[in-house]
Amino acid sequence: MAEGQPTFGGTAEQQKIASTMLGLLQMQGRAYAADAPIRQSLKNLAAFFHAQGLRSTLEAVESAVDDAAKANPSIFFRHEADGGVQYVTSRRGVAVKPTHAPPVRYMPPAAPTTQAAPPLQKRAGGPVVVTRATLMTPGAGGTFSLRPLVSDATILRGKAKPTIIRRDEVAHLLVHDDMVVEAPEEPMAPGEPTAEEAEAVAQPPVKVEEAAAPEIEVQAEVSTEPPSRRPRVITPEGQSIVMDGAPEEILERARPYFQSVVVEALGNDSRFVAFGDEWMLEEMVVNYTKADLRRIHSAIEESGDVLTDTSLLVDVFGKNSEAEDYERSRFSLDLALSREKRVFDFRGTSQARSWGLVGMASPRPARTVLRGSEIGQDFKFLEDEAPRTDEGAGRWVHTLTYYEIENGLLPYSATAKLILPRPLLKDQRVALLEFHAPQFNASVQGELHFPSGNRGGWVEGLEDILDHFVPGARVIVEGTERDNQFLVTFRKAEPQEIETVRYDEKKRRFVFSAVSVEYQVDDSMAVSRARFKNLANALRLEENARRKGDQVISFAFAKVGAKETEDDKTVYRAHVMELLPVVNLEKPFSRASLIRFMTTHPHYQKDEAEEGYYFYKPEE
Amino acid sequence: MTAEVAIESGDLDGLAQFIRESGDPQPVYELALKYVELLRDRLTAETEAA
Repeated sequence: MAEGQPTFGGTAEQQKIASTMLGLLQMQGRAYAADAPIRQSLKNLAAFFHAQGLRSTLEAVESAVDDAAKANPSIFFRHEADGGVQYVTSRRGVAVKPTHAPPVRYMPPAAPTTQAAPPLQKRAGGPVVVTRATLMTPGAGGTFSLRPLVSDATILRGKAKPTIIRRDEVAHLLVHDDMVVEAPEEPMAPGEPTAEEAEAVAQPPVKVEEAAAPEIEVQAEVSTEPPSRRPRVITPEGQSIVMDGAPEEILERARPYFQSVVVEALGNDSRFVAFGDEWMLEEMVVNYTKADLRRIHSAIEESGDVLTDTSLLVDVFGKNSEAEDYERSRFSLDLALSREKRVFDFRGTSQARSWGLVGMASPRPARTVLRGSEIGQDFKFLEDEAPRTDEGAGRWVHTLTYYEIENGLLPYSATAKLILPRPLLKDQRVALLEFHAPQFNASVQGELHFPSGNRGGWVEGLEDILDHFVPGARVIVEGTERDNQFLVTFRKAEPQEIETVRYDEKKRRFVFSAVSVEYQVDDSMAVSRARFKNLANALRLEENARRKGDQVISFAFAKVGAKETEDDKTVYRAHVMELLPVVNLEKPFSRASLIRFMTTHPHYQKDEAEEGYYFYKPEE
Repeated sequence: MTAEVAIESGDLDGLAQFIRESGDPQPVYELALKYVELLRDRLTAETEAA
């Protein structure tokens, strides 16, 4: 390859895998600047190596590939994104930490031509022919072929003459020097051409025959069909966007990308000003004086509540909502308030823009006894979850825990973030939302607290809805046409009676009581007498103990674990799914966060003899 | 055969004009839509001129 090859670390096999990985990524990023990030997922790379016969199972291949990448951290930046592991490098073979809003690249369409291609080995970076090809199964005698995939006339212009590529230029593309290599098209999709592009060219395979080592002879048989004239843009991620058709169609091909490009450009031009996801010209902004801002401050203070921008416009300034400049005035008001960060506090959403005063608590119909800082710490583990990007799911099906019901909370989890709003402004801490439960005829105002620092996010104020459910109940949260209004519903199920746990304030103990339910309950998360009879009359943890994960988990082991003796010492053994509903009496844990805690804490040990079981070994 | 394509000053002028003519603030989606239209037209013109 034209690019310099770095020195690879790890075992001999890891070096070979890493070398092949780099070759594949360099192929993918052939059109990038030398230092531009080139990304590829572990999933796709593993699929490639698996197709080559590396290991017998895909899981084993993923492990081998990941180990090879980890052995070469200076070459591959490893990070978790989109629910999986990704690696980022550059054409130079240097690890690159990915950034947002990368520059756009434009690939002009190749002009139709019947001109014969220049000898391939004279082109810059000689083996570029390989970068546009899929390596195919070798034939007899060690020959193999290259199948061109795209309409890149820089590679396939006219009929190419047989060309020589040195074996060492392509050898690093091979998992084993003498084995079959076929790069899968599907898994390596990022950066690879679309089927549409391939079809547009309809080039026959370019045959490559192995000559006497160390050289391979390339016999190119290239069509003279004119390639597509449609202009296209290639993003740094390798996505090829055909700039053809209606703007709506083009935008939908890469909407997040185009939007990020526009936002970055407008942000660097002083003519434009933004509030949230809206932009306007500075010259169009309606001026609000210091006296105007004082009137707004007084109005909010006197109301004792947050006020929306629309109510401020109408009630404070007497603005007619039908006025021609109403939207401009509204935008300008929000912009003016957002610039007074020490005075005004935005607590709204894109559609419902509410303003309070800094330090002013908004009245809520119900409030958990826990402090916000404690809840944020309790939900810290949510920020360790891989973000989800499958937007459009439409609804969030959530299994309730005892902790959530008792405190009237919902976690701002990776799935919740697909449904509930994101902060509209940088540093926004809270958004006020409305939740309606039509099956109970209940409506509440909830407060969404966004993650900050080392705290996770949550929604509070939902007691009047969640009190209708038992731990393990499956609730459905879905959005409406208004981005601050949500529905909480459940699917009906056959009526059943469950003896479920509750905390008796008078007895100051956990007790069981029978409840009739007509909604779906996840039995694995239900805290019923049938599963956890040892919880009856159990004392709850003191508040300072409740905050500590170790004490919460050891409490659960003592209640649900099997007591055993090991070296004259008492140990407890329990399955993670028995522990999970019980630890969630006092402190929220996901299955993953519980396993992570037990894996890293010295009091706990995985039972290697049986999957899912753990030991708790109390200190002497 | 690839070239850098940034938002050109003409594109930004076009977006400014788009907002000015609308008389209202515009969401990012609408601006991205307008930019795509401007970019498409510019690239098509360059292609035909080449």
